[in-house]
Amino acid sequence: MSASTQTSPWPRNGAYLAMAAAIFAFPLLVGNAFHIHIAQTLLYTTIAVIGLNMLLGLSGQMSLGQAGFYAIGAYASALLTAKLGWPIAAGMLAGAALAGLAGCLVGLVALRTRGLYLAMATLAFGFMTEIAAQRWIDLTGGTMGVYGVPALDFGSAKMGKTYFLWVVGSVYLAVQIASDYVMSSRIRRKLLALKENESAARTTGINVPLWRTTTFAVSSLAAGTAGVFFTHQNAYINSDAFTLSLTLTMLIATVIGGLGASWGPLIGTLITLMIAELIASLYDVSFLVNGLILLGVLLLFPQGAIGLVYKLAALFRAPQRTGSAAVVEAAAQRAFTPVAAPAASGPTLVIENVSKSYGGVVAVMKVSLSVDRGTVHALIGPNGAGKSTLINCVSGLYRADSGRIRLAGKDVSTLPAHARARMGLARTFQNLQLVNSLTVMENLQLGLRSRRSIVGDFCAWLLSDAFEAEERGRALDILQQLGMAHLASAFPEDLPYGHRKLAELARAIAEEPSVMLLDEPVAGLNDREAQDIAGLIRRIRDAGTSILLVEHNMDFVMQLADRVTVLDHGERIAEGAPSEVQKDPRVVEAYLGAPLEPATLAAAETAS
Amino acid sequence: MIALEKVSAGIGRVQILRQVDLAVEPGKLVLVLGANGAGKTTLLRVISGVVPLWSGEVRFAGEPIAGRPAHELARLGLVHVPQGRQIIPNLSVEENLLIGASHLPGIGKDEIARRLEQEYARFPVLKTRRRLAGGSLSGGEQQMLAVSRGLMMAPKLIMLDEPSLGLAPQMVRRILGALAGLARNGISVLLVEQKSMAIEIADRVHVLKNGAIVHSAAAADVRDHEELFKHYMG
Repeated sequence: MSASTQTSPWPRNGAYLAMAAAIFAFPLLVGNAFHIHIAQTLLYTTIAVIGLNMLLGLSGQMSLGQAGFYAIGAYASALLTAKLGWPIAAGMLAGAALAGLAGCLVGLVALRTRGLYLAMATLAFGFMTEIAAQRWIDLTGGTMGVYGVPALDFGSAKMGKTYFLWVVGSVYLAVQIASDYVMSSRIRRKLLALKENESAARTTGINVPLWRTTTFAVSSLAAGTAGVFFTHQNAYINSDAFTLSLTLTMLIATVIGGLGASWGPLIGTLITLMIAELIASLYDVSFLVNGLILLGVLLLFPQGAIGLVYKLAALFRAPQRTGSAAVVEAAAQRAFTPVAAPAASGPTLVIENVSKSYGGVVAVMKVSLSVDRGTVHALIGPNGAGKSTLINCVSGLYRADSGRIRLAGKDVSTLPAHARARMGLARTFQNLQLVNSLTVMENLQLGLRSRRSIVGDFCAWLLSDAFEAEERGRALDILQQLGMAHLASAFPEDLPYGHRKLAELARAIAEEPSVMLLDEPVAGLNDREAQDIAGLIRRIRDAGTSILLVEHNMDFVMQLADRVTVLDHGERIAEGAPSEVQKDPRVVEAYLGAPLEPATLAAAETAS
Repeated sequence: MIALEKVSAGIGRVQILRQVDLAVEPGKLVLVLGANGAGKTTLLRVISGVVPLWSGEVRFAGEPIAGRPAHELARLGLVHVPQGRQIIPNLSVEENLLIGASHLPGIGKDEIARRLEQEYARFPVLKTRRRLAGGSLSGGEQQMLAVSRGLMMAPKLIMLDEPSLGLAPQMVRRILGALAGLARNGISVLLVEQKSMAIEIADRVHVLKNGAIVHSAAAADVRDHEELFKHYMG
């Protein structure tokens, strides 16, 4: 599963060919119309489930309105072909597109909500379409349905069902391949980032609203596609088909198959449809039985059927060591050279009179400072002085109440965080913003700017056995510099604080920024590790990157900084060369304090 | 107060601690220094039962405690202040403190009020912030709150995981000063750090490297911190 090992695409492509062969041969071998019908249903339902799997499993957005999009596709195609006499293909395309469009709109509205509220909003949408289907009788025919819908039989009563299965199968296979690409490429990393850690996503340049809306639209398009197939498979639709139970069936199939797993939707849908056939006679209690099965799966195999398969496979495999020695050595032989920041005259980062308060409490008050190209500007001050708030204003996670922020001469005060990130602004966080379901390597790849187009990337994934090898090489070089190459395939949660801190620094370096904001880069590191990081930061600075550094380790700050600004209670109380600032009596009083002497300790003791 | 004998432990199949021997006498402050990944956090987690013991023994006040759940250990008087402070951001400072004591059996309202005052006397800034949300405190204040919350349980032994993390130098001094005060008042302290500054307040220093204790000394005998670091922290 980890993207840090190189794999040949041929076993996977072999599976696609086998699947294609199976779809081709099935109707010829079986010949039974009922079984062909079931196979058609399985394949187009899987298309909808794949869409839901992407939405739920990767981007973490819960939709209880999938039946609504399915219905929009189904009715649009039915009405266009039956009432307006459109050709079937045109009706189907229009139906699927309309469902996608509806998803786009719902997705835009849903941007304002998360989690439970999003589920409620989509549930409401599902009900609205269900009620419209039932009650808007002039249009939909209600429970009487739409008559005269042409069946997609290619003018052949005998072979029609077979051709239909081949068409559905081809579309399914294309969707499956697209979904597999999504799940093993940079898109997966981006979606997981925005699911789990929006701050990390935004500051590495991901346009969160755009991606959220897009995933919503894509999953609705998939549901609509299933809907149009349903319509022309049966040549008749009525409102009974589009109830909440359809949404639940798709959800159950997604979860049973294994959330976020590539072949999960197909397996999950297969199991769900088989159960539905088995309990069809128990119509009254089928909901109950479905619910019990879902509950059972959640309790016994929280990763779904695919998770069970992986677990069994793991029993027969020797435990893997994290990070193979060979890979680490390969990286050691390449020298890491920081990428030179673009040449520019004047300061790269200018902060002008920035103020920020939260509900009446002033956190930052009219602070100005500027960082020249290729210099380190340190920001120090007591805990709570407003340093992190200022960094958040600069990176765009907070909007400053007043004042201006300029990057390379351009006013970015009103730009969102992801736009600033793309202009070459990278940052680390005091309280760590890593994506925990991605490995250290994948977190780094989140920062790397891909040099390939989406089409090129897809072709490389499909055909090359060195997919993303170049990116992983670049990432490994950076990790090597930080002494972390052996942890490339570890997950952040398993690492001590200091190493997670380094992983974040590595991600910022991977962005090849012209300005870096480092919030306590050596917190949690010992003096020797801090020395190594100081050396690395010097090299990045010498390559022309401007660095704004917040840090409490004074030895580190004093040896590294070209200039120092001191904040206290949100205001600048001093600025100058490190040696000047260090002697400033106000700074000593507010921040540095007297050295740790027995007298101080004794005083502290009496106080306790 | 606490004694570890040949303790080995790990996470999953990966061994982290190797044959660790360690003891904290009553009223002493013992410091464990180690680099990232040395096993410091795991050491504390083994003692507090979060990470299972593979072999060896952990005794608290003479009794073996392996396998006991964390809340039971807290009642016995063993308190763990984990890394990252774990303040509940939406509760007030005072509510955060009360969480520390309120679920202990057999302590009355008066006793809780007395302990609360004691903590406010230890860190007066907490008293001035008592009504504010825990999440609104600065890093240093949160660390004080985390220490005080642990002390609300009136522990016999308090274990702290890198309390200096992310704190301004002046704040590190105040926290360390308070810890030194605890030991003088008879509470045993097991402190895990990677900053040499903490040696100043310790009675005994152990250096942990790759999960094993590679050096032990009375803190007073550690003259040259630089030397210690050069040898063991790399």
